[in-house]
Amino acid sequence: MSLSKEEDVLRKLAGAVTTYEVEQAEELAKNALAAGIDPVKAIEDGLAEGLRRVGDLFGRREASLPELVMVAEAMKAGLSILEPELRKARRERKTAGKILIGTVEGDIHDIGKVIVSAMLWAEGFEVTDLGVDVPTGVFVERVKEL
Amino acid sequence: MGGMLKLLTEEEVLEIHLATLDVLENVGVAFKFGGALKILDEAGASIDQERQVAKIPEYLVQEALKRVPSRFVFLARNPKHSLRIGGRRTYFTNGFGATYVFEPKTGRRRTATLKDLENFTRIADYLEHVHYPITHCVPQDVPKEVVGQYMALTMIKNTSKHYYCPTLSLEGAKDIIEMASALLGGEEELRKRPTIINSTVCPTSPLQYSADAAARTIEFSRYRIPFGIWPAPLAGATGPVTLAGTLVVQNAEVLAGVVLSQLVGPGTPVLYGTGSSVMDMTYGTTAYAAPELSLFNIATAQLAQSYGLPTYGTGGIIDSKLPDEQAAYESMMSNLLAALAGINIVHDGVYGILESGMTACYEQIIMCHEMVGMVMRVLKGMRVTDEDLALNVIEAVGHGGTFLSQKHTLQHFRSEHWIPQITDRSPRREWERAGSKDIVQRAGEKIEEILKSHEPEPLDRGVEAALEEIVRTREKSLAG
Repeated sequence: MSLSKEEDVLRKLAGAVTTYEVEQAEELAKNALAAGIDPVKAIEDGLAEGLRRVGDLFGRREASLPELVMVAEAMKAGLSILEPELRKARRERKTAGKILIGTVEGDIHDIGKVIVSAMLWAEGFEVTDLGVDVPTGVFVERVKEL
Repeated sequence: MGGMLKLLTEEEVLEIHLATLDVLENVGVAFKFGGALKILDEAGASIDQERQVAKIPEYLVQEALKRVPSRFVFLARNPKHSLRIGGRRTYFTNGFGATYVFEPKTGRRRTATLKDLENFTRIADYLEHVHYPITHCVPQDVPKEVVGQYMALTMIKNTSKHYYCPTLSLEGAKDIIEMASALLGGEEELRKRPTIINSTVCPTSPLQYSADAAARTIEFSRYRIPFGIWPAPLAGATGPVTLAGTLVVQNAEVLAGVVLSQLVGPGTPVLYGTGSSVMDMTYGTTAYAAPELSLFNIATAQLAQSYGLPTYGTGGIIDSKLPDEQAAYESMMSNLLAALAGINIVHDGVYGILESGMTACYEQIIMCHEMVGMVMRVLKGMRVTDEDLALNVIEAVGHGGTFLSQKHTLQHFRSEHWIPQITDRSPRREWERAGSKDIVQRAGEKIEEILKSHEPEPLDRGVEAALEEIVRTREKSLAG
């Protein structure tokens, strides 16, 4: 495929993330695979690029938390398509690090965790959210899997 | 004057109520406590055991609203401080639950201690417009497991006004009930006079009661001990971003708790609480002193009045980190609006806390008390009788004379005028002679004076020993 076609798909993918189009991000990720674009490239130059743009806006206080949280949702939607391909090929993408997050057992508060997760996503971390009221044993098991 | 302020039309109040019934019946409320689900199940709610959700039909809500009382008396150790709760009466408490203390003189913030709780309770005992004290700070120098018991003990010792006892767990609630029994001379007496204490249960928005919150709802209702159900969904985070939507979530949480309590103990006094506000969309912090909090208070007063439930609103709140201009405008706005809406108990009114509940400040409590004094004067309104119309006096003074020398003035000025305590209205030269002090300095001097001179009515020695024994026993059992 031509370079410009690839650039076009990547640009649209980044755009879908930037404008919080969750379903479109998923659709465009499928298109990228169908067009034979390297999934690592689709993540880094497509999805992550879109995320970075909103992250920068948030850093300048030009974007707010609902935007940051939704942009992370769009990113995750795209990743749900692209990451299985990486795993199949036994490849890894670059991240700032992996984060396992959850609310401790006995506590059912969710919101603080959601905000922290969105901020970490925007900084390039890959975040796995275990939910609320999570026993210590589950953290221990899951951290081994990372 | 309370209740003069309306936000919603009667039709809108009804719409909120109907939407709430939809939520209760179709979405339900989660109770993370099997005992609560069992009670609701037996009464006719539909239970999803796996998700621990109770879907509550309309007839259970109506039945509960028939049983819950519309008025009751908060008893106090000294009967002159007992309070009739309900109708259009408005009372204020101090602020709740700070972790730190800010000292303006040094600019330092430090953790709160048991001594601070003792001081703040003594100050609240002294202040006229703190109708009963609540737990101003959570002491960081006592073991976490028994902090609720220590807080209750400290407060009971340092005020003869009505007792508020926060409980953080079911065990804590049981200890506090035992302490209240000891206070009155046995469990039998507590069952006769359960309104000697009150407490709070907070749902975890959206639409959840934690295991502790559900268990405590049941425990208080078994003894018919009054408690406020105080949800605090934040629009856009733990409630819908639209205020009406968040009000529906709040209302569903309160009514679900009312249903549970009235099934366990019909006639248990429940206060309809609100701490609903918005989340700050830039920082993710609670925008507690936001104007939206006041809108929720006014709407809550209307909703609760339509149910005949006394209210436990929220006012006086401060998000500012300093006792500054921001603190003043924030605190005044929510207090005035809550009072005009006819909220029965303005929780936090004489706030004395900064930073959205994090940091207590001695000077601030005096400043808030001054503001509440002004609000109470507004609430009293304008009386119009022949004596007030003063036709005789107007005729006697005539044209160009003075009313200052009239007996009528002497008779009425103390009740007609609000008399400031720390607000400055002095002539400039006098203000300069007194050291050109700002409001924070003047408040600090008042604090020193109160702490030096005010001694609360002492608790009976025997009772005090019994209460201390309950706390010690629990502490030992945890250590062992």
